[in-house]
Amino acid sequence: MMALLEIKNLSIDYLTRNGTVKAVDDISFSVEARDSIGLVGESGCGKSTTGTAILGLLPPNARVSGSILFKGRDLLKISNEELRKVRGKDISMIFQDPMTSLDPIMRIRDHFFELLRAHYPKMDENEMKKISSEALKSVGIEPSRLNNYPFEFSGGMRQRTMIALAIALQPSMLIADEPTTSLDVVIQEQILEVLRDLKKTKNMSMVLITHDLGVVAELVNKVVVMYAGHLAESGDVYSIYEKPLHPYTKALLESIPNVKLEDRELRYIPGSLPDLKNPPKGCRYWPRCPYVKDICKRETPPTVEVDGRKVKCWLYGGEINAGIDKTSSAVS
Amino acid sequence: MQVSTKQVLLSVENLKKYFPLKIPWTQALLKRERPTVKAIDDISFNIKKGETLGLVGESGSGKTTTGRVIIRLIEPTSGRILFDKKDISKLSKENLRRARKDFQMIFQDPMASLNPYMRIGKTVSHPLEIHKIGTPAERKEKVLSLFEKVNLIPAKEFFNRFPRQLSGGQRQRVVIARAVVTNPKFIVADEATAMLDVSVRSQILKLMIDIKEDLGLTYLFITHDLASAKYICDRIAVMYLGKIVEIAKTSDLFKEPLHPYTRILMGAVPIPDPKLKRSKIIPKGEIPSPINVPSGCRFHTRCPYATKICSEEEPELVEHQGRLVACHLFDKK
Amino acid sequence: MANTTNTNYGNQMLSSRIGRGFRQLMGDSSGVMTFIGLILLSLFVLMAIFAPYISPYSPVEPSGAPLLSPQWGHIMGTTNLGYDVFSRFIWGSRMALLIAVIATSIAAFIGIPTGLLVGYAGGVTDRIVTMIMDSVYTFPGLILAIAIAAMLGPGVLNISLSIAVVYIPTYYRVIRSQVSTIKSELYVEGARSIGAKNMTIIGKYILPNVLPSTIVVLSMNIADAVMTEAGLSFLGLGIPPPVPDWGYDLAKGQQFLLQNDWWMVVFPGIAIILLVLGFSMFAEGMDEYLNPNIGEKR
Repeated sequence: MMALLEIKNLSIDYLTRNGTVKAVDDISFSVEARDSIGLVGESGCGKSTTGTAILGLLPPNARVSGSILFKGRDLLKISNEELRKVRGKDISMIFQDPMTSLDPIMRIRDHFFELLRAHYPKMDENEMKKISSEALKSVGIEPSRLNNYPFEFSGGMRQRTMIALAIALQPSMLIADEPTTSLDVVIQEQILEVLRDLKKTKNMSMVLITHDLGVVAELVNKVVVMYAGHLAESGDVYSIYEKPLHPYTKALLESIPNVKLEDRELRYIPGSLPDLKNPPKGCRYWPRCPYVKDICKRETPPTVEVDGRKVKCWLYGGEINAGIDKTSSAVS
Repeated sequence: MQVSTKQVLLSVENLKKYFPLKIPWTQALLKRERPTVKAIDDISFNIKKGETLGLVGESGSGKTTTGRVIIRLIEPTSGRILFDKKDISKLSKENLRRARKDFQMIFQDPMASLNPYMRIGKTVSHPLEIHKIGTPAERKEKVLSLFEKVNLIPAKEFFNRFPRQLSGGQRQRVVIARAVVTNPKFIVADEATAMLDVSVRSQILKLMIDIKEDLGLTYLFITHDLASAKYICDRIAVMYLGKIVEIAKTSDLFKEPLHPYTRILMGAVPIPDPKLKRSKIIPKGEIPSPINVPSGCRFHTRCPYATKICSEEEPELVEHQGRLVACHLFDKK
Repeated sequence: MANTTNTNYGNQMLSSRIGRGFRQLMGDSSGVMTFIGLILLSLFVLMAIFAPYISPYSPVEPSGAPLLSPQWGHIMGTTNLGYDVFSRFIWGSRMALLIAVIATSIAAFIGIPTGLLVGYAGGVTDRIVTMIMDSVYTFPGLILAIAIAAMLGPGVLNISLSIAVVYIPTYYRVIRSQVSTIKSELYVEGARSIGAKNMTIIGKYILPNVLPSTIVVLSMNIADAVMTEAGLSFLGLGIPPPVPDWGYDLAKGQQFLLQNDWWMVVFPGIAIILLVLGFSMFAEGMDEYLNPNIGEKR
């Protein structure tokens, strides 16, 4: 069976006045139908860039190579007009800031109507009303509020509205870029509940882009961990959280403050994130890695498969370290 | 040591901060009472010397305003702020300015809290200059040694850099260095780690803990992130809509939150463990506007346990099992 | 970023519009624009400084027959009084630059501190001063300058003053609007929290952050002042003849244009255009250089 979305060897560079930023470097992963995957990493890891690339919304100074196959079609090769038809109908996206994503002078219904008309120019008003009401209801907002303006909505309700807009045309894939980051925990929980619910009721796969490993754990079944433009590790959520393979994933999981755990000792990753205009040679994580070897500083590690997961680290595979048994104990 | 830890350093009594709302003057003429935003509505608490008190709440709870009012970056509407037994709220402008070397603030956004046109060495030594502490050579030496302490190494190189040449984590180290350079007794940290990346956040948290032990500081740690608060705070005060609803020792609070709001807040924090499927109480709606505060208990509109009395009578912050909680569920009357 | 406030220097300044047009024309090569501007400027400055050495004749004494067309010996021809146009072209830069610089300095000297203080203070003071400044600002610049110049009478300082008055509000507005954004920045609050005095905050935390845009306004302003000065002398309100002045020459030459003696108009005109262009291009280029938030993505 073909995957719904397949990203192959995707690389994205930004050309800026001060040099080339290697935002994404040769990443590959796939999303099956009904999958929900978490694209996880810190700022500058390339997760948002990857998300925007799927929808073809990158700024003009971006240079892309590789392929993004959606239902077998390469989204990087189709025309803008075709891409526009894909957006909103097949793939839709919600963004971090619900305060600025809605046009303040348009009623909520106008937002819906505009979207519907863009894809179905001949749809009549009753039909549009029906679809918008349905969409609003599914995110827990009264359809009567279609006549409101965005300023009459709170932050949480705006984000619900954004989600409703995103799912109104029953897309097969929803990309959510930090959908809860600017919201308070309680509201975040409400939004996560909405997303969880949609995942169950709609036949839809989801790409959740976030820095919050807690949010990921609550929502997805597959995780892609990115670091400084590289794909560090990908696999199913249980095994990654239980036994992270890549030293970065392991350190990241340990360093997040956790309300549930009893112990109060703080662990952290020393050093800071690399400058992508001038990333370290070889593995981009080596300056912070406790397991660093000479080869890490010289060559970019290959992506290898370990226990059904993909990991990009010299500890696994490569010529120097073939045995998996030996190496998996090296990290634990 | 035992004695000094019991000494109260900061005591806030019945602090209020109401912001008058801007309304057209035509309406102002008609209305007798101007509408106000009750950002802080009568709160009291103590912080002991060497202690870290966490102030936790959602946005709109008034926690940030509290931090700013305590060090009088914003004037309080009423109430007393006793710092070392002196009332900060009564100090004259000039005396307040002089007193500022004893209490400092660490801001949320390390990108915005440094002057982009000032070298960071100068930024950190500036408080010393302002308060006329030491000679220029002594100041520079002090700053360099502080840079080493906050791990901005090599210190001499960092001294002449501009903020834009630093990463977010490094900038926050500069902000911390500036806050402690005058040897203050008390620091308000307003969401000091919120804007940082996960892998850097814990670093800075650790630095704040270490530097506190080192210099014998006292913190008011304002945050929306209960998980971070757990690691650094000795006690935690939970704020909701301008009121403190619960104050407890950190360990007690995490073992058993009493106030329904604290429970909800705690339950809402995502836990990085996919196996954990919690039964969650998700509250209805969002935090109400502080202009029209609900009657009685402010939380009753969203509280799953609300009864009739909750909408009528405002619960007081009373002692229950050695902790303070403001909820009718625990009111013995 | 250091200076992300989007500054609008006002459309009153013609030079700002010229510069912006050029920026659109040249696309991303703001460096080239600044460079060309700089070269033009240095040419005129050098010309002004070394005028006695490079001008072939005295600009205030007849040096040949009147109304000679451009030819060897008088490459720009002569005026109706037999003055060498080229020499007046060179000497004219002195007057133009001198008055423009003095006028701009006066305007900056009053406008910038007022903007800083009033912007920082805010409140009622702000509202009153802004109202006064705005009413001056809305007045057509040249007409205002004419009125004041007519009142004060001729003279370098008087002309400068009347031009300065027109541009004080420009500084005031740019500085005030920036100050009122910057004063709510976290680093200013930080400065207050370390106990800095108001004057320290203004001087060390606010001023350095508005200075870059001041440089831009300054150079745009000089360009406009050059034009206003030329306008005033054109109308006979400038420096009394025979002091070499492009505006005056332009007015004089206009009378002979009908008999096809074009050189008396064209060369002073070119001088004014080039100098204004130089300042505008330099200013606009600097603006882009100092606001590096264009085309960068975080």
